[in-house]
Formats: sequence, structure tokens, C-alpha cells
Amino acid sequence: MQKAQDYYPECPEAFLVSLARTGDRKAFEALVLRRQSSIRNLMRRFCGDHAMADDLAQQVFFKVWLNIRTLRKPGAFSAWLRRLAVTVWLKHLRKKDALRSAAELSGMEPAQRESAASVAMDLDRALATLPERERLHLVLSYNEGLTHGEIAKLTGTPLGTVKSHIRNGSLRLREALSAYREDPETGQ
Amino acid sequence: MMNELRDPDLESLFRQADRELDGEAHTARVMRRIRNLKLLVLAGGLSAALLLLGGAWMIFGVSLFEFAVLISEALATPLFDLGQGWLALLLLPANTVATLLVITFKALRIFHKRVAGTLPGRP
Repeated sequence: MQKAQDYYPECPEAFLVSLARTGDRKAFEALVLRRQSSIRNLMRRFCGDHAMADDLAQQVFFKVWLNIRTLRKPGAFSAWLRRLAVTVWLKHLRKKDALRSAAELSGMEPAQRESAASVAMDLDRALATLPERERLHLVLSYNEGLTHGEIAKLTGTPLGTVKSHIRNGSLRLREALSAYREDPETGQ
Repeated sequence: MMNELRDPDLESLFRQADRELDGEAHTARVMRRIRNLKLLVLAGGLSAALLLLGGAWMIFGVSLFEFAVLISEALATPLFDLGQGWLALLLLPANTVATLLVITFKALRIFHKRVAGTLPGRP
């Protein structure tokens, strides 16, 4: 006989959130499984180090478990999760310089570009050369599709600063990843 | 707005980099961490409770015991002096303050049930 938990992977997210709020660990597990990829990718863009990104993503989900009862609207889970991820990243930055030195990374040749994994690696390397705040704002704009206003609110940064960070960051990132644009085979 | 002016090349690169990652191992690690936290909280709570009980016993233990003796003596006090004969021995379990309290409590419950239609504490 099938248990209710067997249907969790097909359940709507808001329903799983509601169950997780009551302490249902299986529902929470299904939520983590569903969301881990996006949060790990976001953390990878933020820090460029996959192991560290995975560790930070774990911290995010741990915080989610501890605080999910405070989430009033299950439908707002996605934005809430992103906010927690940004908070964890900012806290991590405050603790220590999470970046590998930009000098260490600059001048690196783009990796082989056959797979999405190497695109991700090159992108992460290029992002790592940007200043922390600039990178944070750029990733939230391009990776998460947030508006400048939303980014300003989420990170507590003045709107003008967010705009200039994204403008400057985009230019630098384009330069760092120019090989992708120049290579007609990639179609960039 | 600048937001609408996202660089299409960069957007495309971000999209390509955003690949689906295998999540079984990662999810298992998160859940293990949560289980460990639960065990830690349980162990911490148990230790705190034991410490609290030990401390409370050290402070109030003796006086609590004396209080319990006093209460039991008060409850066992005979209501009527029936002397030392066999009748006194026979009625000893009923002839105490404790019996009076139990009978009063029962009577109050029955009275409440008759008046209110329910027993107190029950829907």
C-alpha cells in the first residue's frame, strides 16, 4: 500500500510548505530535493567554489527548517528561500573573505566549452573576479531575474548603487567572458 | 529602466550555467544535519531536566518530603473519634479527611452534571 509521502514529489510546493510547517520531515525533504539545485547554483554563482557553495546551500536549508514556522504564506516560499540564501551569503561574507583573490583568478583561460558544466565553471571564475557586492547584485539580476528595486530591497543597498554595480559588473563580465562572444561555434 | 537592458549574451550564459544538479546526496546531508540537531536538542533538554531536578531536590528535597508526610498525616486524620475497638478498625478507611474530600468531590461532579448537563472538563 502506498503512503501519503509517496505522493510528495508530485504535490504542489505550497502544500509541501504547509506540511513542513507542521514538522513533517518527509515533506521538507521533498522540498529540499526540489529546490536544492537552484539554491546550489545560486551559491555557486555567488562564491565560485562548488564545495563551499554546497555547504552554504546546506546552511540555507537548515535555516529554512528552523524558521519555516514563521513563514505565514506558503505561496511566498520561493522569495523567502531566496532571501534566506542571500542572508546566509552576506553573513558568510561578513565572517571572512569568501573570495579567492581576484588576481589569482584573472588571466585564466576559459575552460573547454563543450558542456554546461564548463560554462558554469567559466562563469563562476569570471564572477569571482568582480567585487563582492557587484557580483551579488549581478547574480541576483541575471540568475534570479530580480528587478533593481527588488535587489536594492533584498540586500539593503541604495538603488543607484545597485544600478551602477549591475552596469559596471555586466561590462566587466562581458570582457572576462569575451571568448564566448567571439567564438561563433558557441552561438554567443 | 536598466533592468530591461540586461545583456542578452550574459543572460544566455547564466541560463546555460544554471543546470540541474543531482540532489539525492545533498538532500541526505541536509536531513542528516536536521536529525543531528533533533538529537542534540533532545540530549540537551534531557541534561537540563536532570540538572534541574537534581538542583531542585538538593534545595527542596527534604522540605518536600516533610510536606508530603504532613499532608498524608492530615488526610489520614479520623473524622470521628470511635475509640480503639473493632468498629473503629472496620471504619478506619472511611473515617478519614481523605474520604470526606473524595465524597465531596464526587458529589460536586454529580451536582455539576445535573445542573450543566456535562461533567466539568468534558465537552
